[in-house]
Amino acid sequence: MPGALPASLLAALLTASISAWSMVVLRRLIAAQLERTRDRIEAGSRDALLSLHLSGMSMDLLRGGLVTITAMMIFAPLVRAIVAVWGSDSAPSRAVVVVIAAIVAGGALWKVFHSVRHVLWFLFAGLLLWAVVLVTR
Amino acid sequence: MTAATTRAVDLPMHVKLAMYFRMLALQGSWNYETLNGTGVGFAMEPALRYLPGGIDGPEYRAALARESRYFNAHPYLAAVAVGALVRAELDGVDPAKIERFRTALAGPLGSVGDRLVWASWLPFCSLVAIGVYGAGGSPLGVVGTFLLLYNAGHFLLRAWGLRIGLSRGLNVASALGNPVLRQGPQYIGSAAALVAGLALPLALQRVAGPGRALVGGIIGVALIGILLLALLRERAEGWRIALGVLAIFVLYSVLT
Repeated sequence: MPGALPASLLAALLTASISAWSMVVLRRLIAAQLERTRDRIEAGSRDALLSLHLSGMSMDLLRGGLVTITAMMIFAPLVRAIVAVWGSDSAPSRAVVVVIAAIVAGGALWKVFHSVRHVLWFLFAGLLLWAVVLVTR
Repeated sequence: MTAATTRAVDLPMHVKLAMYFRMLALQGSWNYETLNGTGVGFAMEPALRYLPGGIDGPEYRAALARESRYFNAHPYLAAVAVGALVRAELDGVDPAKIERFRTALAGPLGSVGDRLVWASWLPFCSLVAIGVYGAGGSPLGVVGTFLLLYNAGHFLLRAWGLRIGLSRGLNVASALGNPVLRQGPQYIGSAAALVAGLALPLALQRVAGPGRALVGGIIGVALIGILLLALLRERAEGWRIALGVLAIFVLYSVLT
């Protein structure tokens, strides 16, 4: 199934961005609840604090479940439909996914590790190890 | 609940464990007003019961209110603050001093934690898991490797943080000079670069399948893309570009 990998990756990225948005909504909801119980929490009410925290955790569980179920309900049939009418060959389909993943991963790694001393030497040492693995396989 | 003289280091093991497990849910009530504050209060609560008068005492209520205010630090290294603040509260330190300490501690814990965990440990564990995939590992093996490695790191970090906080109290700042915290990001970063050099091409080969020309082409295009992304820096977010390009490619493949 040549289109399965790109279609699934697209579904996963869309789900992740929806999940991130839902997290922002949840945090606003918790802030609204905090506003309602602020006086009690500032007075040191154990019940108010535990209620806020436990309801926050429960809403997060609910949020995660809803995002997962909704994504599966929408994307499972959609991915199957995309795969059924997929027009590109298998090799370029995989290659596009790999290139995108490699660019994003490489860009993120560079952003994180470019300040590490001698980082390129360690990267080259890793590539050398890869070459050794290639030869000995 | 118990004697007024209970000191943080003498807390029963079940109380320390309760604090530890509550810290795993520190971000349960994270919000845009108090950030981690209410989570810190939630994690400290079992120990605050040992203040004079127990949960009905004015000391308990004042301490719980104080510790539930705004606090922003890395969620794992917040363990250091939780331990130190518990000790300060149980030792009867002046509330104004506790407030100042709380404010002063947040920044360093945030920056050290971000460098050590988000910018070092997390990418390193991801790269090791990618390496397991490249070496032929099963999906369960890949996910299991990541979860075991990453969780081992943060469970240990939280345990260390709580212990050091409880034992040093307001003098905990010197603990942030620990070699693991100071040099850790440098060493983990070097190890991650080494693993990246080995793991990424292996994983790339496995996904792309046989064909050296194809793999060579992919590496070439990927390197150009990485260079462009590095040049764009903050002006572009990689995952947004990936989403756009992927959507266009899927649309093209469906319509042709």
